[in-house]
Amino acid sequence: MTDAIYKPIPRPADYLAKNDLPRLNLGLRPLLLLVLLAALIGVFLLVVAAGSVRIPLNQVVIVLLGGTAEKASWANIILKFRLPKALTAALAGAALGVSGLMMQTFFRNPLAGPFVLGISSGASLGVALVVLASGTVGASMLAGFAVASDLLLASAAAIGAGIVMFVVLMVAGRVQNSMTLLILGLMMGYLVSAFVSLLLYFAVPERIQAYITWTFGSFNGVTWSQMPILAGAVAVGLAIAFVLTKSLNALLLGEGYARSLGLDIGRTRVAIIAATALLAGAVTAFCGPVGFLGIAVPHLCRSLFNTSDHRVLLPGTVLMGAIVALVAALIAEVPGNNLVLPLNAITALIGAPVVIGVVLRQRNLQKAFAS
Amino acid sequence: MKAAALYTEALAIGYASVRQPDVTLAADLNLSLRSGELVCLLGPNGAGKSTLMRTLGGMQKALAGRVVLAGDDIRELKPRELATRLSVVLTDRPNTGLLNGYALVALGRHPHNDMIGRLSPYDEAMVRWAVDAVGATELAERPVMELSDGQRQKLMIARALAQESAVMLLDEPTAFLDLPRRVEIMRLLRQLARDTDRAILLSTHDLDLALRSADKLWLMAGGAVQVGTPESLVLNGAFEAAFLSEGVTFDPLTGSFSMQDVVRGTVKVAGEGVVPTWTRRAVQRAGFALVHNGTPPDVEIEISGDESHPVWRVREGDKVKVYESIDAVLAALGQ
Repeated sequence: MTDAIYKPIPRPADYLAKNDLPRLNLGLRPLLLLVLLAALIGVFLLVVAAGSVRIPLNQVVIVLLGGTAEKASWANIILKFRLPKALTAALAGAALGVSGLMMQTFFRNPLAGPFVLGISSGASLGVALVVLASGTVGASMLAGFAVASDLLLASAAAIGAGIVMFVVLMVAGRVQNSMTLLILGLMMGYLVSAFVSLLLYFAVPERIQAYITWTFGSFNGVTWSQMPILAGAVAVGLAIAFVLTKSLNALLLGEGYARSLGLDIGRTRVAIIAATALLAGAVTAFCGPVGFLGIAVPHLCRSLFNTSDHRVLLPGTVLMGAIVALVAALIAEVPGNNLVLPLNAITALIGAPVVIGVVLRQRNLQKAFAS
Repeated sequence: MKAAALYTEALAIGYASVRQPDVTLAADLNLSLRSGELVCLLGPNGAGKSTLMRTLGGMQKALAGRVVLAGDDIRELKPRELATRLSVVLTDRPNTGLLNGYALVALGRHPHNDMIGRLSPYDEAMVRWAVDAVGATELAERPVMELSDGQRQKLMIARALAQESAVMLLDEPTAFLDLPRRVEIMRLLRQLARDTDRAILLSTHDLDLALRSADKLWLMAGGAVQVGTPESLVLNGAFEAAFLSEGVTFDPLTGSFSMQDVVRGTVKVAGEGVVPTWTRRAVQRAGFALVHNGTPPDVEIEISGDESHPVWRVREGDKVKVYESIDAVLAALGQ
């Protein structure tokens, strides 16, 4: 009887000899990336075309390709205002999506996002210090604040985010497990927010207004001269993320297994946090603390691609992040109107129902994450 | 005899701590694992099985001595090099999210493939082989989260196989599984050790299964590890001593542990085969001690008739009664 069920173990050599086998089905759908790319181009053009002055799509394409538009003012509007806005939105969406994805994988937690380690709190402290605590700045200067001091705000936000990230990074190499790090990041956030609250409490109302405007988030503030800084930081951050593809996949099994697969956990941890800091930090510096995209986009991608494999999830998140951010920008402008709504309200308004939908439809969310 | 794939020299394991003295769980261990050999690490809870596994796998620092893997001290190996020589299956069942079986097993190719983890034809062949080798072919294209614990465990073993390491360490691979699945996994591991010439060490609480399937046992108790074939460790009493505890006795004749209750008398059950064996278990559970040697028992049971219709003749002193079921025998003994 034993002989009947005894099947010898096959030999590896037999498999190497077969060369007519189909590719392994890893459950990946890379072709969907092309669909997303097409959607991205479409939304991008729409954002450039829409606004208080509506510009025909064909004219948008002509201007973007370096041609001359029917009306000279159109080219001016597109190149000076709409294109930087659309680029900023695309970069910010991609950056926040990817940093959210990395945090969710790293912490094995579906609620993690780009800001769990206190990046946005650090940035807001920097901004709050500049806006609220610069005692010598008179109310008259505040009027010109929005124009003149964009770069000052961005620098303050970057420095604030950088300091918080530096502290987290210093600790990251030493702690035993990532859960400690998560709690540490959260507590850092609360601490920093407490300082901001104190500053707000003692500040004059006009300055509070300036601070609150920053917290609404906006894709409109980035000028062409600042664009290389934002684009450069996002490019470097995304490059690090793509190099980490394999490490992120290994981390799906948890740190113990990842280590057994030859992963240097300490180094990986530092790289993930550095990339997240760069991506989310740069975006927060230039656009304010844009919420929700970072948490929602990775979920959208997982449900669209139906995989946790970062080889498709990472490029997918880049594209999806850019698309969602552009859509948010489109809605915030309220087409056919001069009204501009707070960006964060829009990202939450369109993001929250989407995430709720995904979570309810995908009942196994819990299973897809930490055991 | 083959050279050891992994051996330890004067290894001490335990926990180092900064403010308090080190906690040493076992010291001066000189152990070796050979290719083609299935070794089971046994020991009571808290003996340090997991610590030993973690130390051998380079996941925890040794307090003293060293672990040598294919000629090199594991402390001197880079993580990636170590991963090509040693793979592990851990107790925790990670939920791997939305991966299918092949994608999960393909993670085992990480130490071998390129920076973003692309699979070469060779990598694909190894993944396919590993999946077939554990008999999980029909699971491989399904999402891992839809699989049962046992199925997932098979894929985790396949992942370790795909890693192509000469040594495999498994920490309680049969925990959480039902008995048929445990037997299946053990059989698979034994076959893998022999047929793929790997050195496999697994820790387990499944004493019975370990006694039946291991080529060698590492018996860990009281800060030392005794090594030997299962049979020799049973015969020299080491096995019984390691698991000695109140209310449980190891019966070297049946090779299993039994619950020791109040002894209500002694019984001798004559004969061999299915019916006598289960009769012995029944009377033992009812609180009677079995006698095998010449001591006259309180009750003697003989079984006649064929296996489908056995008849129990129970002799108690001068009285002989005949019963047609174990239930009836137990009811009579209970009076």
